[in-house]
Parts: sequence; structure tokens; C-alpha cells
Amino acid sequence: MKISTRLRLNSLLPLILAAAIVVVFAVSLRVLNEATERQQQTQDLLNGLLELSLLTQSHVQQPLQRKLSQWRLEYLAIERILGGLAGAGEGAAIRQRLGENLNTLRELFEATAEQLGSEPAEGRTEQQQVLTQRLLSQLRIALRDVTSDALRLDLLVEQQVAGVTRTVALGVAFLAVILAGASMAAARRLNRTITDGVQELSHGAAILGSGDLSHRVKLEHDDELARLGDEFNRMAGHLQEITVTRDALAREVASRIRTEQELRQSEERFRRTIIDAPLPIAVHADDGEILQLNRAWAELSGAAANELPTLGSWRARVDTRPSDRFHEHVARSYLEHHQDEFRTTTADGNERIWHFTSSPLGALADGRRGAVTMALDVTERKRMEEAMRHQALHDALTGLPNRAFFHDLLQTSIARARRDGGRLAVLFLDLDRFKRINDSLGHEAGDQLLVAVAARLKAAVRESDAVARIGGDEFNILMTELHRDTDVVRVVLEILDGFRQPFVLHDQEVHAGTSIGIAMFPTDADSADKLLRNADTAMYHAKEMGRGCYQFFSPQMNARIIERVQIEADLRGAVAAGRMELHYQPQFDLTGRSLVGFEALLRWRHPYRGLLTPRGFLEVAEETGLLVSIGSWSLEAACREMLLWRQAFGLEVPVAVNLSSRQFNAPDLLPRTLDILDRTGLPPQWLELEITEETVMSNLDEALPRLEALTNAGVQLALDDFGTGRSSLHWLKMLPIHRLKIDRLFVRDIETDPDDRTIVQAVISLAHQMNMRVVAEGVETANQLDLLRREGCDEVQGNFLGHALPAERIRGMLEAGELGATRH
Amino acid sequence: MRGRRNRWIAWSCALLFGWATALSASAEPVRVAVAALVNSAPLVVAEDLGFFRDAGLEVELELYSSGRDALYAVLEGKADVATVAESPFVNSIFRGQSPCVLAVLNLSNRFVLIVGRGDRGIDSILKLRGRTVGVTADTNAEFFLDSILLLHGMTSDDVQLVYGPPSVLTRKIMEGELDAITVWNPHAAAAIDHLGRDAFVYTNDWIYNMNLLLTSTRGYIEQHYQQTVSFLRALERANEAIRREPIRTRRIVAQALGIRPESALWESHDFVLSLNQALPENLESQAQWVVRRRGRSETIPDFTRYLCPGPLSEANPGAVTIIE
Repeated sequence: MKISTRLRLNSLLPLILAAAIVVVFAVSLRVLNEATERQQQTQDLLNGLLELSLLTQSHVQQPLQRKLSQWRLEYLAIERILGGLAGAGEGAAIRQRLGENLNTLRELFEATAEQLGSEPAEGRTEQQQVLTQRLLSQLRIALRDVTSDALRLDLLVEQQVAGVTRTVALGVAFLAVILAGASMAAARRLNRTITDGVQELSHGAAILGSGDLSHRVKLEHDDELARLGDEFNRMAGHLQEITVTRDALAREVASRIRTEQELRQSEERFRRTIIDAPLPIAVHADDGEILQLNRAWAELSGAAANELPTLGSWRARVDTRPSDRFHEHVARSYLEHHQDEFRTTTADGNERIWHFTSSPLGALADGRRGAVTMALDVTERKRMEEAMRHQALHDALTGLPNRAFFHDLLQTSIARARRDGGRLAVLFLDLDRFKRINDSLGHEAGDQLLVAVAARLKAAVRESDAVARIGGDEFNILMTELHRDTDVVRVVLEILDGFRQPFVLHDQEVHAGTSIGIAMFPTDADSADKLLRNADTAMYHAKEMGRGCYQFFSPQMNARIIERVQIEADLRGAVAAGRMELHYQPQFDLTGRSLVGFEALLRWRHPYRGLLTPRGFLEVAEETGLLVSIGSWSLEAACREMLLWRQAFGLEVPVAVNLSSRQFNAPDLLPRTLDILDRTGLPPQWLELEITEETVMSNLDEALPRLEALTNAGVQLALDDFGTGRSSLHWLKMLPIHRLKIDRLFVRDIETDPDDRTIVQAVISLAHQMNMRVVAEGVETANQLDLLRREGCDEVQGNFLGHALPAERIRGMLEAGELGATRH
Repeated sequence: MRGRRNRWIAWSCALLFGWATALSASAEPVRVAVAALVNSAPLVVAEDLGFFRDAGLEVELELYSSGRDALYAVLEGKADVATVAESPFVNSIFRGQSPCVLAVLNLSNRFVLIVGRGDRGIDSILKLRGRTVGVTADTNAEFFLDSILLLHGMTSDDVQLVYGPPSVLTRKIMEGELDAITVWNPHAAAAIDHLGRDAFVYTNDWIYNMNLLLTSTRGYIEQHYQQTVSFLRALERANEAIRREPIRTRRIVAQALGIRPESALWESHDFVLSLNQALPENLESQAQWVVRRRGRSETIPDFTRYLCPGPLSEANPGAVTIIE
């Protein structure tokens, strides 16, 4: 309820109180009047009864008609009064009994009066006297009863009046108290509502004022104060929101200012740290810009800071190796922390080693990514490490790798060789007579000798070889990249050669020899230890053979090397001495069995070994490079012979000359060939060059233009040993080849091996599809010839049809017409 | 909760103890000889509604066909308290006995009726002359008949009095042995009912007011004084109940007396315990009658000596207005 309404109601309460009291008074007054009236009536009744009692007494004593009449009048008056009395409950009962008793009284009085009036007292009979006496007695009782009843009635009325009066007084008082109480309670309640509300608001305002904006007032009633409270709370809410926002803003601003200050200080510290740092430090962005660098970095670069705006400009001044890894390092530095080691060389030639540490700085304000790179100069440390490592791995006296290093090296090389299918040679050297030199000339001289020996060994070996001093006067040499067995021998001979010169020690010439043992990987051993052991064993064998010798661990090797060395020595003079000669084997057409050409075959007429086919010396010739000159000789000789036969016998068949791999790959193949043709005068179409399938296929890219050039020059081309290599049909199609030569291996077993026969069939079929002719070599039997014919082979060559013979014999046969020459 | 329960238990124990003590104090029951009259109603009501029990009394009510017999029971020591009208009381004193009035139980002015046989020509009191009229000797009925005969110019010699208990008289008038009887209710009602239209009924409400007295002996009262006070207080409660609940109490009384409730004539009774001057007046009047009837000159006793107002004045001081 509204306070205003309650205030109005409160002000009405006294009025209501007054009205109620007035009403109660009015009602009470009325009731009181009635009661008072009844009281008056009972008083009248009592007075009347007193009169009646007096008259009764009087009449009994002296009966008189007048008294009787008075008595009766009085009785009627009393009866009337009694009839006028109203009431209920106990009063009515008393009144009823009073009426009855009055009646009794009257009856008694009348009866008594009758008795008294009939006869004078003295004349009455005994019976009458008894009766009169009895009547009088009853009359007295009746009078008493009536009076008693009247008194009871009076008392009752009095009580009623008193009750009414008390009720009125109590009622009014009660009402007054109730209303006053209600009024006070209402006022008090109202007062409390207001004061509590005001107090709550005041308290709330004080709390709000003290800064606690979360406080809310609680007003329970739905009145003006409650609405004021709601407004107060709303205001406090707004204030809190505003304050919270303001505080948050202030905190944010303060935080930002603090952060900025800290950032600035941090930046400054960072900057100072960088600038003053003895380490070269550079901060750079991912587009290469150097955002900051310090003095140390500038010094490292040998340039002023302003001359190094970018990493690019820095790298232009400082050569950093490995270069590609440095690129990678810079790129990674924007992503993760990492370290690398680089060598730098400044423009003034200062070379240093740096340990670079880079860390990403995250996104920069402009969106680029940044990184900081620090460089630690580890040059000295590296040098020391290097020196220490060198010391650990090298012989202090000679500077050569020591035993441990050599062993490691050997193991590494074995692993690589095993992987690549290469070969290795381990040489074990021991100085002859070193002890004697040491003892006679002193240790110093011995040391000098060792140093000198080391120098000569290093001079003798190839660049790819490694020399090590493994202790005392023992040296090991590791030879890798061996192409031929003679590579080893050549180095060995070179070493032995070097020892032929005397060493000068303390102005004295001293001759020191060495013995060399050689073990080969993988033939002699497949592990480092075994190789060294075998090389050592071989070295002792060498010593046994006499000083200044070398010995392979394997006897076969020793033998082959000796032979090869011999052949090489012999071959060198063979060409010059005219010991090389060409034999010619005729080739026939399978259809007409006519001569279709010759193949020139090289032969070496060795002074002790007799006539040698190329198989016995070709490898040595190729290794020594003699093959080129032999090849050139062969080509020229064949061309001259063919031209001769052509001129002498009108022979118009080509001569086939084999080209070695080295010949074919020689850069001057075409000019040299053309020169020979030119010099000999043989038309190119009568020259057929036979190149092995392997030679062509091993380097097809280079082979193809050469073949094309030769074809363009008019030279015929044949693919030799076809079927043994790894020809691709695709490439085969592209090759300008005129003939395919089926290798003698397939022809040999053509009768017995179905696989070989299938291959022959396939080759023939293939060649025909590509418009090539097929020539089968090594035909030894009629069956072979018959089979080849049946398979559609074009031409044949072999001992069954004609052996390879010296030119004189062919010439003789031509003269004799034993060879049916035919048109090609 | 527990405390409250404990308190209840304590109170219950105390009450039980108090009740047990009261029982032991009043272990002796109050034997009441009750005249089988409607006027004895307060005793019946107090018993029925448990007011005696509430007062810590054990009361044994025994009905007697007349107050005279009831009084005899007390005087013979068969009962402690009796209800009796004035006549038997006065006669007992003349016989040298010493009953004592505790209170006037009831005042009734239409107590005794004369029922005559109309079929035998009895249509007024005067017709009773020479007729057989039954009455119970030494009772108020006899005094009433005497008064009525005097009022009508006759004496008891003018009629042939036949004495007997009220029930016998009633049967005799029904059987025609008597011409009239003077009896009280419920015997009068029974006779009226039986005679029907032939019944002549006469009563007088002014010539005689009967006081039904509550009597005992002085010795008993002195020995059981507080018990007697409690007894009277229980009767006061019964009177209050009769005033407040007339219908209910009348039914209780009718049931106890074996009469119809409507025949109890409740309104003619004033159930107020009292001891006032009207009592000796009445008693003296009766005493004179006794003396005259016996025909010898005896002094009228001082009846105030036969009143014991002590217990009543203690139970209800305003009820005693007599001066000893």
C-alpha cells in the first residue's frame, strides 16, 4: 500500500475511534436506561411488597374491610409492576415464580381474610383456629418467598445494570485501547516502514558513497520508498557499470602505459644489450632487411652498420659457406630456434668460423616476421679442435695420418667400395735398413729420413690416395678409384722409383729402399684388418724377394701383373715394330653363298708368344691408351688393303673394322676416320665400322650423334655382339645401323639350346622389321648354317665358311678366284 | 520437544498421585438414600454427570419409595444422607431421633395430589366425606390431606383414612378398593392415567409448600465434614446444570425414576440449595399438626437444633439465611 494512502488512513483512525466510542456510548446509554428503568420497577416492586407485607400484618392483627381493599389495590399495583417487567433467562424464571408466589400469597391472604372475617377470634372452632394458624404460617412463608424473589430480582437487575455499566466502561475502554493500539501500531508500522526505508536508503547511499557500488538496498513493501529504492538500485547499477567501465578503461590505459614503458625499457635494454654485446647480433626481417645490428656484427662484416641494410648486402661483403645452408639457416630462423656453423671470409681476406644461433621474433608490427641472429666466433676453438683432432689422427713427425686414422679411413673406403662395387689396394711399406741409418746417423737423422720418405710417398701417390705412417718406419698407403690392376703397379713403381734417388741427411747422401706388400679389396680380403694383415704378409714376401721389391698378396695377381707389365712393355714397341697385322674373314650371303664382305681382325705377332688375338692384349692396350693408336693403324691398314683389293680384283665388298669403346668415344673419331678414308682413298660406303652394343648403349646420348655423323659421312655401321647388351627396342629403332651381328655365343648353341634359337629368331625378325640385315658370326657347322638360313638370316661369317686369314692369303685366294666376290 | 513431553509426564504423575490421595481420603463411599421423587433430581443429575466423582467422592444412590423410608435408612445407619420431606423429619424428632438438615434441596408447591374416583361421584373435596381415602402415614401427603380437609370444613375424621405405601394405595384406587388417594408423583400420575376421564384430581399450590430436605446425622457430618461440603458443592453444580440444560437433565431424571419426562413437571420446582426461615416455620406448622393429631400436649421442639448449616454455608455462604 502506498505510504500516502496509509498516512491518510492513519489520520482517519482517531475519527473512527471517536465514532466508535460515540456509537458504543449511545447503545450503552440505551441499555443502561432500560436497566435503570427495570431497577426502578424492581424498587417499586419491593416498596409495594413492603406495603403489602405491612397491610398483611395489620389486617391479620385487626381485620378491617378498608385494609382488605388497600391490600387488594396494593396487590394489583404489584401485579402491574411485575407485568411491566421484561427480561429473559434467570430474571424471567424468578419473575414467573414471583408471580406464582404472589398468587399463592393472594390465595392465602384471601383464605386467611375469609377465616378471620367469618368469626371473631374467640368464637372460632379449634379446627378453624388450626387452619388459621396454618394459613398464617403459610402466609408468612409466602410473604417471605415473595420478598425474597423480589430481592433476588432486584439484585439481578442491579447486577444487570452493573454489568451493563461495566460492559460499557470496559467496552469503551477496550475499544479505545484497541483503536488506540491499532492507530499506534499503524503509525508505528508506517513509521517503521518510512524510517526503515529511509534508513536502508541512507545506509545504501553511505555504502555507495564509500565506494562499494555493488551494494543494493532491499525494501520489502510496495510503496513509494520501494520505488525510490528501485530507482536507487538502478542508479547504483548504472554507476557500477560506468565505474566498472571507467575502472577497466583506466586499468587498461594504465596497463598499456606500463606495458609501453616496459616495452620501451625492454627495447632500450635489448637495444643496449645488442649494441654493447661483444657477440655480433643482427635483427632481421623475412624480406632480408636488417633491422638492427651491433658493432660486433659490423666488425665481423668489415663494414659500417649503415653499409649493411640487408642480409643480401651483408653477404655481398662476407662470403659465407656453405652458402646454400646459410640461405636455409636464414629462412628457418623466422620459424624456429636453431644453430649452424658457417665459415666467413671478408673482403680483406679475414677468414673466420662462426657459430650462428637464430631465433624467431614472431610477427613484427608491419606484419613481417622477424628473427634475431647471433654469431659466436668459434674460429680459434675450431682451429684448436682441428689441431687436436689432427694431432690425434696424425703422426706428429711427418704430419701423415696415423694408424688409427688410416684404419678409419680404410674402413670408410671399404664401405664405400662395397656399396659402389669399387676396388681398393692397401700398400704396406717398410723402410729397408732404417735401423742401421738410425743407429749410425742418430734419431734426428732417422726422423729426417722419415719426413723425407713421407714427402716422397706423397709425391708418388695420386691425389685420391692416402699415405699414413703407422709406426716406426712403416707406412701404409690406401689406393681408391682403381680402374685397373696396373694403376696399383704404376704407383708402386713410382714409389720405388722415388727411392732410387738418395736422401740427404746431415749433408750425407743416404740410400734407403723399401719393400711393398699389396692386398686388394675385395679379392684378397673384405675387411680392414684382414687387408692390412695380408698387405703386411705380402710385404714380407717382397722383402724375401730382395730389397726394393713389391709383392701382391695373391700369387695369381702377382703373375697377372707381371704378365701385364710385360705385355704392356711389349705392346709399346709392337706397333712401331710392325708386329701388328690384320686378318680378314670373309662374310657370305646365305642365299647365294656369295662373298658380301670382310671383317678385319687385329692380330699381334708376339716375338715369344706367337700370334695373339686381341683378347690377350686388348685390355692392356686399352688401359695404356695404346689401343687408340693401334685402332687408327688398324683402320688405316684395312682401308688400304681394301682399296688395293678393289683396284686389283674389282672387289666391291666392304671391309668391317672393329672400333673399341675408347676409339668410338674419342672426340676425333669422325675427323680421324674421314682423314683415313681420305688418305687411303677408299669410298666410305666400303668401310663398315663395328661397334659393340654395349659401347653404344652405355652412353646413348653421345653415341647417337656420332653414329649419325658417321652414317651421314657414308660409312656403314654394324652393331656387334648383338643380344649380349641391354638394347632397348625404342633406341634400336632410332640408331642408324645397317647390320646387326648376332653374337657367336648364340650361334654356337643354336642347334641344342632352344632359348638361343628363340633369341636368334627374335633378332632376325626384329632386324628385318627395322630394315636391317643380320649377319651371324661364328658359324662352325653345316647345321648351324642350315638353321640360320631357315630362320631367314641374311649373311654369315665363320670358320665353316672361311677362316680369318692374313691379307696375303686373301689376296692369293682372290687371285685364285676362290672367293666368289659379289656385289654388296 | 523432549522437555515438553517430560513436563507432561511429571504433571500426569502429580495428578495421579493427587487423585490417589483423594481416593484414599474418601475411600468410604457416601451412601445416599433417595426418595424416588422428581424433587430428588439434583442427586441423580450429580451422579449421572459425574460431579460427585469430580469432587473426589464415591457416592452410592439407593432409591426409596418415600422420603420417610429414606430417612429411616439414615437413622438406622444403612445410609449416610437421605432426601426427605418435612413430615417424616418432624415425626422422627417426635420419636426421639436426631436427624439433621444439611439443606433444603427443593421447594415444591404442587407436590401432593388428591386423586379420586369420579365414577364414584367424587368431583370435589367435599364429596370425600365418608369416603375411603388412602394416604401414607407420617408423610407430607397426610399433612396436605389434613390441611385440605380443614380448608373445606372437614377433618380427617370425616373421611375413612386408609394408610399404606403410595404404590399400594395407587393399586387400590385402581382396583376400586379406595375412593381417593393422596399421593405424590409419580404415583398420582399412574393413578390418573389409569382412571382416565373418571379421575378427579385436586391440588393446591398455596396451602402447602413442601420442602425436600437433605438430611443426615450430626455425628456423620462431624466425622465427614469436608466430604459433606464437597457433596453439597457437587449438588450446587447439578442445580446449575438443571437450570442451564433443563431438557437434558429432565431426561436423565425421568430415566432414573422410570417415568415419562413430560410427567416430571420440571417448572414447578425451584432447584436451589438453601436454609432459610421458612423451614422452621413449616416444621413448626407440621409439629403442631403432629401434636394435635396425637392428642397429647407436647412442646414444639426447637427445630433450629436440628439444622446443620455449617457445610452449606461453607459450600455456598449466600444460601444460608437462617439464624441458629
